[in-house]
Amino acid sequence: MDRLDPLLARTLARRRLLATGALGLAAGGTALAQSGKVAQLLMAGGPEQRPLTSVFPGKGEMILQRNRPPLLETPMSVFDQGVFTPNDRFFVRWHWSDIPLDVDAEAFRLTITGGKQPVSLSLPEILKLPRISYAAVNQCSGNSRGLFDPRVPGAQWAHGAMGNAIWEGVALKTLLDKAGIDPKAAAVRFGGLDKPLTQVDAFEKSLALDHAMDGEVMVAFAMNGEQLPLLNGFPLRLIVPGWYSTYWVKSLNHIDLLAGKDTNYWMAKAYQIPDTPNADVPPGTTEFPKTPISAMNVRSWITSTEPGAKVPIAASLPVRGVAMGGDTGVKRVEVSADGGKSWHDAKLGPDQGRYGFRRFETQVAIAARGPVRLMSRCTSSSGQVQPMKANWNPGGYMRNCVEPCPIEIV
Amino acid sequence: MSRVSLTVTALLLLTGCQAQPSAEQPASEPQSFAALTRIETSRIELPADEETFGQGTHADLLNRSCLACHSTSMVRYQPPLTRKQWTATVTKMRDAYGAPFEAEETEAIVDALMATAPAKK
Ligand code: HEC
Repeated sequence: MDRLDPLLARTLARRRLLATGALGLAAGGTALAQSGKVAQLLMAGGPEQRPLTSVFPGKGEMILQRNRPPLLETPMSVFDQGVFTPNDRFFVRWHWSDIPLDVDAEAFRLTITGGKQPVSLSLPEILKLPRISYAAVNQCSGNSRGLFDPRVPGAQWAHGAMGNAIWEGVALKTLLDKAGIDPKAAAVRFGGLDKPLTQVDAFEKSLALDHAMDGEVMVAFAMNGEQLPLLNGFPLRLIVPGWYSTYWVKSLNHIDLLAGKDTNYWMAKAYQIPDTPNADVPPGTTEFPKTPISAMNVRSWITSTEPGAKVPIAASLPVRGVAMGGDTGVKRVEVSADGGKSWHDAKLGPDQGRYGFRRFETQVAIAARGPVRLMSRCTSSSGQVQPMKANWNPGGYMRNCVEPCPIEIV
Repeated sequence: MSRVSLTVTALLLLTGCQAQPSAEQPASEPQSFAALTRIETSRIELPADEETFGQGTHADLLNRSCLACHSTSMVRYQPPLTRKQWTATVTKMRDAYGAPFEAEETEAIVDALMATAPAKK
């Protein structure tokens, strides 16, 4: 059966309803939009409102993009509180609704196949291997998709499908060396505990062998000093620093060395971008040479003020935010308070490593009441500069333009 | 932008930080964390997902075709999509993901979406 037949669909739906009833009784009704609080996202044409929810286990208040499987977005104010995103506010994104909810740390094994010998490792065994650790931004390929103009289908994220954490784990190279690499190996594929409901390809991603062996790509067991939350990929997650989150396979339990290119759906068909500079094509274009999405681009966001905020007049206004270089560090962040006519360097916060966020801050002088268009513009250490004009592609991937933050001084 | 004239003054390190202590929070930004020494079994329960598209012919069709794999919000939070975009999406759900409806039902599902989901009519 390669299609979910209507009977099964109905059974699943019924089972869900039954489970819901049981849960509702036991847990005293974990109603979803429990707080009644709403996030207002600025998305031309709408819908712009999303519930704010704190009912997901291990998560604080999050923007609810989708209950099942969960898509939870981090509110921008969280990024103003520190350079690292707390685990309980870190965004959540799953593709298939059969996600791991109960993982036994003793029974869990990570297996590696396709090498010279099969490998199976328990968590305690993995904890004994040599470790690496670094800060890295985890950002969804479609972060900010809801701001595309013209709009495109997909998860309608604002800017919060991202987070920065310190990851700790074992270099993927250490694990692959244990398996022994056949000279014919070309790529490495990663799979997790989440499963599709139909007989279609599971959500699996792969990297070229050289990339997988670069010593930086990591199999992480800790995030900001704690074991990974289930919703963020417990017990192991692949970390591909500088690359989009689609490669950071969650609940990683299987690694396979492949002799050829990976032809599975999630590599060959999904997450394809135009093979053009910055994945940019004229709005509306559907036909173009495609390539799988890969490295992130340079970005920055003002976090001290929300767009649309009314700010009491004062001699000057502090402006803070976070910036990232993409797959390199941050060289410079400039701030404008006149819609991009003039720019001034902001002061950069401590460098936490080239793959992480870098905080910036400055003050803008306020002359009078009225509208002000704040902006920030990051230059990466490789010289990439955020463009003023947004890129566009039908997948809604890789937005990285300068984001205006219009406010009003009152 | 006439009444407002603004200049940006790059905040100079010392004075700025003193004037705006809230602008920098170095104390709350740990540089590193203690190494993890053990991993404990993890178990959670997700909140219920009771929402449907409601009742009626359109809703029945969407309830039966679109709720096995994800919540209604996957549909409700889309931007206003054209008929062509909804048709492409519905076709993808069936061809790529194995959604439980017959190819001949595609048009009726698209009609239901055009009538009840965000759509550019
Ligand atoms: C067999 C499972 C399944 C069924 C049934 C299903 N979908 Fe999906 N849908 C998916 C998956 C998988 C994705 C992509 C993963 C994600 O974005 O989380 C998706 C994504 C979407 C998206 C985002 C746009 C995109 O192309 O990714 C929309 C809109 C959508 N579905 C609408 C529908 C509608 C309308 C129906 C009913 C006609 C439906 N889905 C039925 C599995 C399904």
